[in-house]
Parts: sequence; structure tokens; C-alpha cells
Amino acid sequence: MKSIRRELTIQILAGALVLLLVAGSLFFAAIHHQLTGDFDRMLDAEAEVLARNAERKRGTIVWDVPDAYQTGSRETSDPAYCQLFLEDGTVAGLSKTLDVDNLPRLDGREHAIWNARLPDSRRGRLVQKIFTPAADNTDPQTGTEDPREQTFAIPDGMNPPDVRLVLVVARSREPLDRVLRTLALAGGAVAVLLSCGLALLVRRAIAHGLRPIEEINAQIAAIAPDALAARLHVAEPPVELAAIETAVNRLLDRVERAFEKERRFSSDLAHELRTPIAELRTACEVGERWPDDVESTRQFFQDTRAIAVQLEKLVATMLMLSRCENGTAPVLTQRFGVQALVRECWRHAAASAEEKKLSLDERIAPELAVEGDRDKLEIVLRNLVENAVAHSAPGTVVECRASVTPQGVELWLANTAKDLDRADLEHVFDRFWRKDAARTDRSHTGLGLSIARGLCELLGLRLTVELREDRRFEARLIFPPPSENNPGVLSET
Amino acid sequence: MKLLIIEDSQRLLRTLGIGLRKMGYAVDLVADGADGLDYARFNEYDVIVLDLMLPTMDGLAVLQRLRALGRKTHILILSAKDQVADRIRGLQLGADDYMVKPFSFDELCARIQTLVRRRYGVKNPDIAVGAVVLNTAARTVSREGRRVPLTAAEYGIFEHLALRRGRVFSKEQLIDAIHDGETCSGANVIEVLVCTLRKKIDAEGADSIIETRRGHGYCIA
Repeated sequence: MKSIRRELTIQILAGALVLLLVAGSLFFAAIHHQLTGDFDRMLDAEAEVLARNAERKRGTIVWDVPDAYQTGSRETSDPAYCQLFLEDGTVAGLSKTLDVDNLPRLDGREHAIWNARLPDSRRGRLVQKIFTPAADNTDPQTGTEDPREQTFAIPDGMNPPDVRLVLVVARSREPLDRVLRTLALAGGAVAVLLSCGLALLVRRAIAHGLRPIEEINAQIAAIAPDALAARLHVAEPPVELAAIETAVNRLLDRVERAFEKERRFSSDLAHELRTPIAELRTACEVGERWPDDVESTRQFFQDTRAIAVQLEKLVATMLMLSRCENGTAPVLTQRFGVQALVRECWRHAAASAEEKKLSLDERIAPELAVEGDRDKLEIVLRNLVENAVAHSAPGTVVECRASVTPQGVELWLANTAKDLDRADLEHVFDRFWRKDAARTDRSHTGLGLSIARGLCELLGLRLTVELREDRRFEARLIFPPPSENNPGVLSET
Repeated sequence: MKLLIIEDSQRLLRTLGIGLRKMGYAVDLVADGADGLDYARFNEYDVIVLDLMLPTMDGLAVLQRLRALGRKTHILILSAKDQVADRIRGLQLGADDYMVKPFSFDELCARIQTLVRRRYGVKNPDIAVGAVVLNTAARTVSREGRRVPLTAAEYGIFEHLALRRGRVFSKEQLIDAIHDGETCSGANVIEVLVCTLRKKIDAEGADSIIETRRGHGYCIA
């Protein structure tokens, strides 16, 4: 699994190491360039002096080689080498340190500096200069021959003023390499130390930065399934996490509501089943114990049948609700009149309405028609009508209106609802919700409005409820105007 | 023994009434909370079986009112509410027992009988009256190890007197103890019941277990 801490640590460290490497390399290159330049300038200056020390005197080349090039052991010291050539390669002079060896030279290069192996096998730095020796016209002092001076006769056939000499000066570059190596090692050590320090700092910084995430994680992990009222609270959360904290808390709000709804549903369902099961079991046990009581046994059979019908209705209703919620119920579209459908639904509830002396005040234009799944709309309307009849006070009027509005066809049903509060409105679509906590009236499952809304969602209709100022409960069904996605619509014939 | 059942399910109420009457109890049946409270206030019951989710008045409210009125009648809550919190609340408000629906009718009878025994301070379900033994759990009567078949009304009278030995009960009091609102009976019915009861439980030639106190009523000494 990916770890933010590990990813961040790796990326930051990798980036820092690359930067360190590039910066160190550039720094080392600059130092290398500077030190090599200094070394070359020094070597160049020596070559300049040695070139000046070479003079043309009456057909000879006299070259004064300083002591530094005359002494020194190849094994124990750091000898300097120099050698003078004619342009054709003829050796005109050389330092004693060279003994019988020669220095390499580059043909035709007026001035050059390069690396090469020295006669003592060490790595060396060489400078080559081609120059014309200055003429010395002074008389030679007899008896005062300088041992450092080397004399070379200009070959016959060469015009002495035209003689050009090639001077090669060489020094071991080991001192320079030692310094560069030391610098490189020191730089490497500094880089390693910096990397380690950086790794620790990055780790600490990331750990510090991720602490609020860990806190949120711990708080979320501590939320038990039965303690969904808990909310995240991070003290002074960073801006990035404040949004996450808020989002998680909102999610917990929704989860808590959904969980509570499901818990209430399970509890309600259990309660809906417990009482009929208790009725069944008691009837069976009592009937079994006194089988000779024919009258009671007959009553128990009647009760058992009624309970079976009640449970069958409950199961069928639950199944319908489930299909609506899953969207698996098929939708068959057809055109039908609203008034006829409303009257048919009222006829279905007429017996109950008659018992309570309720009347229907229906004002719907006979020509008003809609397109949709008539059977399912009939279930919706029958549930709304049954709900109105069941909860209306005796002797009152149930109103029903339908009209065409810019929002579509609006159909509403209103009935008296003495005991209903506005706070109850958010529960009326909940499964098994009843205002009467006793649920004494077992002819209703408490699922009617849940099914009505489930079907409306399936059919693309809107079902809203409100408690009017005159304390009448109004259920409003809105058929949206025609659209490509929603053919279930209105028209006036 | 007289019971009051307060239960809003008409079917369950009716079935319980049939079963418990056959067990020898006098049973009053009420379908809503307010009526149940009135019945419990103005009548003497050995046990009240009380549902919680009732119309007009919640079962817990009925329980609270009865306890506030000082009624010590044993109350058994019979509810579909199965949460531990519901049970704790019911017991804390003064209920003596709690049963969750669905339930076993036999278990309900056993629990009712336990509450009855507790009411009369009897631990042993067997109550011996001379050679006659009354088992309040099985609601049976035996004499010298042999079962004596009694009707529910006969058993009711015998149990009522056996649990209150030494106390004299008038015919009206016995009518009130063994009959409920559904069954009507007069003083002569009690006389007939006591007479048949004596024939069944008394030994031949011996004095009757049930004494007649002229002008006062009956008792078991």
C-alpha cells in the first residue's frame, strides 16, 4: 500500500540529493577549473622565464636552465622538467631531471597545455611554447662559464635569426590532483552528512505535517458502529485538512441519519412482525391446549387467516417498495384521464370514507390527461387517497384539485390532520412511520406513503407534502412537462 | 385469581382472555391505556399484564400513574419492544416482570403464577391443605397423590381460599375473585361451586377442608 510519508520522504530526499549532487558537481568543477587554471598559469609563467632564458649567440643557442630543473630525484621529490627543441624535433637542450628521456611535444602548436605521462610515470601537466630566441650580441666572458647554461649549435643551413624553438615544460600534477581529490572527498563527506541530516529533517517535518492526518485517522478508527454521533475535531487543523474534516463530519451526519433510519426501519419491521407472530403463537398454543373448545378454536382459525392476510399484505407491500427503490419495476406508458383515475381511487376507498362520513370535493377538468404508467399511478393515488381517508376527522371533506402549471400538471389532495405537526412531515415517507406510536390500527402497514414516493421516483414524478395554515395535510403530485428523458407527461385533450 | 390484561391487539387480547380463563383466572380485558388505568384503579387484581404501545395512554404512563397512586399490584409488561433499554426502563418504573412478544403462553402463565405466589409470600408452588395438595404452577389439585379434576371456577375458589388461609370470604368476595366482567354469577353459584368442590376434595366421613362460617362466608383454617 502506498504511504504518503514514504512517498514524500523518497521524493523530497531524491530531489534534494539530485540538487546536492548537481550543486556539488558544479562547485567541484569551478574549484577544479580555478586550481587547474592557477597551476597552468604558474607553469606558463615558468615556461615564459625559460623561454626568455634561451638566447641566440653567434650561431648557438644558449639556454640558462634554472636550478629547479637541474636537481631533484624522480622517486623522492617532485621534479620539474623542461626541454628545448628545434621545430624539426632536434633536441636543443633539456633539464638534468630528464636524464636521457624526452618530453612529448605537440607539432605545430604555438602554445598548448595538456596532460601527459611524465618520464617518471607520474601524471604531469605540460606546457608548450614556440618562440624565437632573442639575440645576445654581448661578448662572452671568458673563464666564467655558467654550469646552468646549455649551448647548442645552430645547424648549418639554418639562418640563425629565423630559428624558432619549441619549449616544453612539465611538472607533476600530483599536488594538484591531491588537492582536488581532498576537495572531492570533503565534498562527498559533506554531501553524505547533509543527506543524512536532510533525511532526518524531512522525516521529522513530514511526521509533523502528517500529525493532523494521523489524529483524524485515530479519531475515525475510534468511531464505533454504535457511536455514530461522534464527530472529528482536530485542534487548529491545517487549511487542507479543515476541508476534509468538514467533509468527513458531513459524511458522518449522513451516515448517522441513514443508520438511524435503517435501525428504525429494522425495529419497526420487527415490531410489525412481533405482534402478529405473538397472536399466531398464542392462538396455536391455547387452541392446542383446549382443542375441545370448538367455538374458541373456530375463532383462532379466523384470527390465523386474518393474520396470514395481514402478513401477506405486508410482504407484498415490502416487495413492491423494494422493487420501487431498486428501480426494477417495469414502467408501461399510456395516456389516461386524471379525473377518471382519481374517481376510481376514491371508489376503492369509498367504504372506509362512508364509514367516517367523508366526502370528496374533486375539481378536475375531465379533459385533463397525462401519459405515464397508469397502474403504478393508480397505486400512488390509491395510497394517497387511503392515507387521506384514514387520517381525516369524521364528517370532513377531502379536497382534490388538478391543474396545468408551468411546472407541469399538479394534482393535490388535502385532508384534515388534527394531530399532525410540521415536525412530522419529514417522517411521513419513512417506512412504518405512524403518528400513533401504539400502531393500534393494524389495517395499515405504515408503508403507503413510502411506496407512493418510491413509485413517483421510479416514474420521474415529484411528490411533496405540507401542512397548510388551515391545518390540512396536503399531498402534491407534480407531473413534469414533456422532455426527451421523461415521456410521462401531460396534455389537455 | 384475578388478572387485568391491557393490550391493544384485539386478537391477542381475546386469545389471552380465553386461555387464561381456562387456566382458572378471572380476567378483565382492556384495549387502551386510559381504560386500563381506570380498571386498575377501581378493581383489585392479583396481576396486571400490560402492553407498552397503547392508544390514548402509553403503557409506561399507566405504570407510573398506578405506582404514583400507591397501587402495589404486580405488573408484568408484555411488549414487542425488545431493547434492553426498554426493559430496564419498564422495570425501573415499577414493573415486576417483562416479557417480549412473541412469547410462550405457558411461560406467560408461569410468570403470572410466580407473581401471584410472590404477592402472597409463597415460595413453594405446592400448598398442602391436609391431605390435599394444590400446585399453583400446574394449577392442579391432588389428594393422596391422585389428581382431582376441578373446573376452572372450582380451582379458582380453592386457590383463593388456600392462599389466604384463615381469612373468611363472603360469597360476594369470592364472586369478585373468580369472575370477571364477561361471566356473571350469583351467590347461589358460589354455593354450588363450594358444594361440588367439597365432594371432590374432602375425604369421606371427615370434616370439610372448606369451613362455612354462617353469616360470614367460607374459609380454610
